[in-house]
Amino acid sequence: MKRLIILNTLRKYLLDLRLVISLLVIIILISLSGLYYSHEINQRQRVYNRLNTLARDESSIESIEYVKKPAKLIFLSEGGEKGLPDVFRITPFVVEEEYKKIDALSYLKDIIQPDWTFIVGVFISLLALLLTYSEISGERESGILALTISNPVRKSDLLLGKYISAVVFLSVLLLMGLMIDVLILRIIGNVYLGISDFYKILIIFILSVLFISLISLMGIFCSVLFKSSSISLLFALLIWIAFIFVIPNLSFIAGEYVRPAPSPIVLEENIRIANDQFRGRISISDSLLEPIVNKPIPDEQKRILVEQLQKEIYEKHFSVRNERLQAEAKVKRDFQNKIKEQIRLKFLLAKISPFFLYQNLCEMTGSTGYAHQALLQRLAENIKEQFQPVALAQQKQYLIKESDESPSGFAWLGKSRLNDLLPKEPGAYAQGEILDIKTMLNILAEDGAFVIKKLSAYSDLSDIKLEEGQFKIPDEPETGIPVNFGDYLWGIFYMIMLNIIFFLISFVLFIRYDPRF
Amino acid sequence: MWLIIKKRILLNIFSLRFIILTILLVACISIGTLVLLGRYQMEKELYEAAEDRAATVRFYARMYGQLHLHLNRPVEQLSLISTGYTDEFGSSIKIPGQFAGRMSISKYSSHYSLSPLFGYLDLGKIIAVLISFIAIIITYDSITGQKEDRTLSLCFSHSLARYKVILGEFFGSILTLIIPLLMSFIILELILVSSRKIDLNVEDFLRLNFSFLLSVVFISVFALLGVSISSLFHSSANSLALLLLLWIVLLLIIPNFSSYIAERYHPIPEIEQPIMGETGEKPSANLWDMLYINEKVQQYNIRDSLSFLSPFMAYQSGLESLSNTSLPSYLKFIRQAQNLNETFALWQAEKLKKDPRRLTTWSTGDEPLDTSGIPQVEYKKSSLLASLSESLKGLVILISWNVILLLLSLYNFNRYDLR
Repeated sequence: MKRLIILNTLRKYLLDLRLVISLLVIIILISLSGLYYSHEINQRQRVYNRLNTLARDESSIESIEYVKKPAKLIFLSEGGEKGLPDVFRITPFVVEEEYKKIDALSYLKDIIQPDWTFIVGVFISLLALLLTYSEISGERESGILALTISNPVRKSDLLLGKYISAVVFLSVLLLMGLMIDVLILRIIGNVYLGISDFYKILIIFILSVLFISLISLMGIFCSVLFKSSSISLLFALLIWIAFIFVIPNLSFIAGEYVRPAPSPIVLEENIRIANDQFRGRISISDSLLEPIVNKPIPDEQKRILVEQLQKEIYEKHFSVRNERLQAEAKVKRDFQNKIKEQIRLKFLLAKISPFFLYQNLCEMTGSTGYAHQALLQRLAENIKEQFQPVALAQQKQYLIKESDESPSGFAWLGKSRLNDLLPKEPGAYAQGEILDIKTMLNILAEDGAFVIKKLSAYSDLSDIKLEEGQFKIPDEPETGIPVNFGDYLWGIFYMIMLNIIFFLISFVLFIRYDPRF
Repeated sequence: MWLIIKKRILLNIFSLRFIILTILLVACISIGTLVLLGRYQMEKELYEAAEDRAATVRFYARMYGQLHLHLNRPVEQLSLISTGYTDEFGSSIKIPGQFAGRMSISKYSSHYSLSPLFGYLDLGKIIAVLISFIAIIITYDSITGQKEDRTLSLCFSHSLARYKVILGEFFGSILTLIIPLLMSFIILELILVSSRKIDLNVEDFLRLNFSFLLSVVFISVFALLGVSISSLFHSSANSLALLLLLWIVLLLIIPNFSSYIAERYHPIPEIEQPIMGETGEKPSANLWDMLYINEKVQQYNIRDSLSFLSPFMAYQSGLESLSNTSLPSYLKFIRQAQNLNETFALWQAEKLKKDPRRLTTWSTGDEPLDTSGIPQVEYKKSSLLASLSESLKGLVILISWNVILLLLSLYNFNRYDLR
């Protein structure tokens, strides 16, 4: 009996003109999306190659750049890849995300990604609602339902039959769409997919079926709940609008409201405050030299002591510099964490909507979108940990060597012509009597004064290239399983639970239905 | 005809779908207004912080190289209605003292460009999406319903002109649709008046009321679309399916398609090196160079020139003009900054003639900087009249949609054969 109901319903679907038209529309949309992405994937690969060579050229002992690999499965769920930063700038202390690609610059406001999840979430789900909204209420209106129930048909069979036929019909459509998508990419875009990609596509197919079955159940639920088809349709459409528009958008602004995004202006201010703490600690004065110079020992020994003092001061200044950068990095990390918290909250709230949840799960499966970005952030943190000792050793060598030539400040004690040369009055610099530091140091050396120098603070470390073999940026690992496996499983569990709940509710409602009323 | 209008209004008002949708709209508007007000206040605080910083920078400047000017655009109060382009490129422009001519732009707040399906949400979008949906839902069966229950043939057996039926249904639907629209605008204005977070003046209320008029023209497009599609079909279900498809196409597909065209038609030239600031420091991630802004503006102009394709786009651009958040008003802001930049450079050159060393050096005992006659930093908002004439384009597009759809439905309905 169940088989008969399923076959009947399927035949009804296939003979309906509306469905044929919507099928055509959907297939055209999928092909267009395939064409768009076959261009897009190759374009992104090119951009990546260029950025990668640029990044390799630019890696210095100050910072290295790590470029995000473009994902192949963006045609399934793009997850806002265009709006995400694509380069991680890694300094020994902090990882910063940067927009470098031309893509980000040509990212127009309000653009949607015509990917698979969009077509499924908006169009196929609408089709699912249109298929199911009048399943029961339509038959109730035309009186067929009473006739059917007068036969020895179990109500559960009837409901299950309707549900199964809708899901089977839509699954065939989904399978066809996926195949068209992959074929277009393979033939027109020359995009080669590996075995693991096909596993992922299979998982995304299963997720799509789960999502579509949930939407069909919502349609059936509405049609059981209401006596008239038009009201059932209205409710089904309301649910649809709530899923794709109201819930995600409201939860995004709610996320912004609850956890406000930090301001770059405040960040600048905080960095300045963090730097100010160290201002006094890297100054030098001649009072440091006084105890040595005043000792009753020969000048030769004094010089050795001064050299030792100079080394100590260099060490101290280098560590203070690192502390300062560390403090600055902490401010920046706090800033980044606030943004991350906000995004996490937004996603958590938006996942109430099965549409958003479905998109999110597909992003996790296809390793695209923000979920993937979070993984790469962690990876970049690891790279930073490895980079830190190498870079700091290099920087120390370089900075201390460099400062011999032109320190940013120095102090001296002893008789020197420099005392007479330097202007006494504050306004005197205007007449162009400024001596540059090198000449000053030369004069001091000729006069035999004792000098201690400050660590050069303004030297441009980004010009010093990192030598090959000193540090190699590890490759991005092939992501087999989704990033946040717990989240992923919870998402699937939530989706399945919603399916079961809606089925049970509509089942209970339908069991209680009495044809006499 | 009045009878038809009255009948349509009564039928609509007492239908369940209309009541539910109106409640949904009103609920969304009130929640949205409250939440967006919170966001507005946050942005306003950030703006004030930016102003404070600008004042601090000026106060502590000891040499002309340190004396930067900051032109901060105040957060538009009506950005609640339409966010527009203010958030797109940033609204705080820094005119540095040392490298004149090298302005840099930053945003008050920073966030990823991650957005759900409809992008950055504002009240204009909520109204556009929901009220057009209501319009479709209450008009899809206005003619087909009568065809289905055969009241139309009865109507025609009387001496009733056909155009009167169409016009009656159309005006009836519009008058019903004005009710939820009016309700949402009244609630919006009540919340805005009673809230302490925002302080609207008369001009802002005029702008709001003009937005209401624009919305009326906008909903009439969808009411007409519903009536004309409904007159085209014999079954309500078919008419609804087509209307929903059209709705999605007009709301999602065409705006995106025109963005896509704009991107392809005017690609931004690729630049090998990242842009370096003059000082040698790399610009931060959300800093946009003027060059890019110019390129982007051209892209947006191409996209906006395609806005006649969808009433949603025309409505959005009209609202943006009325809320003073449109692209032209942003460009005006940039131009103000450019002018300020020039006068500032002249002023600085004048001051440096007296004391050229004070550009980058400073020693204890120097006098404080002579800041007399420094150019005034003041953002000038565009006037109501300018905004109105700007929004005229969107209005004209919407009116022409109305006229075309009206003519189409009249033509179609006149050809309809009862048999």
